[in-house]
Amino acid sequence: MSYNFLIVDDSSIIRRSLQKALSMANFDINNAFEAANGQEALDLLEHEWIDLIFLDINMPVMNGVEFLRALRDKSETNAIPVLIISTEGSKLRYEELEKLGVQGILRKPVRPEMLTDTVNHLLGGA
Amino acid sequence: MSANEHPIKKVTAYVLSEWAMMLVEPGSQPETMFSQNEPFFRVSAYYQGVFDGDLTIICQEPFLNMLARNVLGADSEEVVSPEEQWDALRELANIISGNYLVEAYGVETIFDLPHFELQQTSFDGVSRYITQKMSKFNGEAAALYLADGEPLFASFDINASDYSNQTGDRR
Repeated sequence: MSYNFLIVDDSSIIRRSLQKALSMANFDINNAFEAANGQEALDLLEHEWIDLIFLDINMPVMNGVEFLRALRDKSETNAIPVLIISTEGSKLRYEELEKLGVQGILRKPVRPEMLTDTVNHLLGGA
Repeated sequence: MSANEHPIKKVTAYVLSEWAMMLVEPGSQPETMFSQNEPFFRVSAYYQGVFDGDLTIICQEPFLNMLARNVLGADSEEVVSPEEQWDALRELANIISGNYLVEAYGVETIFDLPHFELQQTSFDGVSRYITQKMSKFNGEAAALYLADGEPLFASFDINASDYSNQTGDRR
């Protein structure tokens, strides 16, 4: 099975490095889409099927929490697994994200092997 | 790294080694570590709220190039644009900032996104700044490192009352 990933982060270097880490981990990737904020991601989800979303929290235009609320509000997208990759470390914020149904939270800096293990786990359980 | 080290020193070294895969060594003399003939790059993040302060990182072009290439795992033929180098520096500040706040203030506090400013400057523009930060609090709130042989300066400057609260149980 090949996967469609969506990387949502306002940093182009983070998006490119995640793409590279996923490619090097030999996941069967059909497409790895990118979005620089939550609104761009929502627009893309209107016409693309996504298997897993990698989501930053602090972004301009629409941040990660706002995006998650919109994602969970729509029946077409509310079951898509989301992995948070952010510098966020607040316990209250983590609780808020868990209530919004995220499947995992990784705090930057994230080593490639940590990313690979987590994605393997999420895809295996999907 | 010592357990009594100021969080900015500990976190800067951690992020450089974990994220940028760099070998990090302590530096000592900024005036001899930095090249006066090359441009300087500076990124600052400003905080308001629970405390007022700023995180500042200063480096030069060779560090910037190495940082972006390391983060991307770029081989020698892969092109890394100047925009990506700037983005890498901004992201470095973002990651150091996030880890610093957890290290210094714990996981119970929520901080709003800081505002980041990037600028290219000259030796004259940064030398006085670095000297001032290195002398403040006996240089405890500033970090000076060689990362893969290239100099990097980082400081986290907050109000004096906040500083004593933050380090009161560390001395």
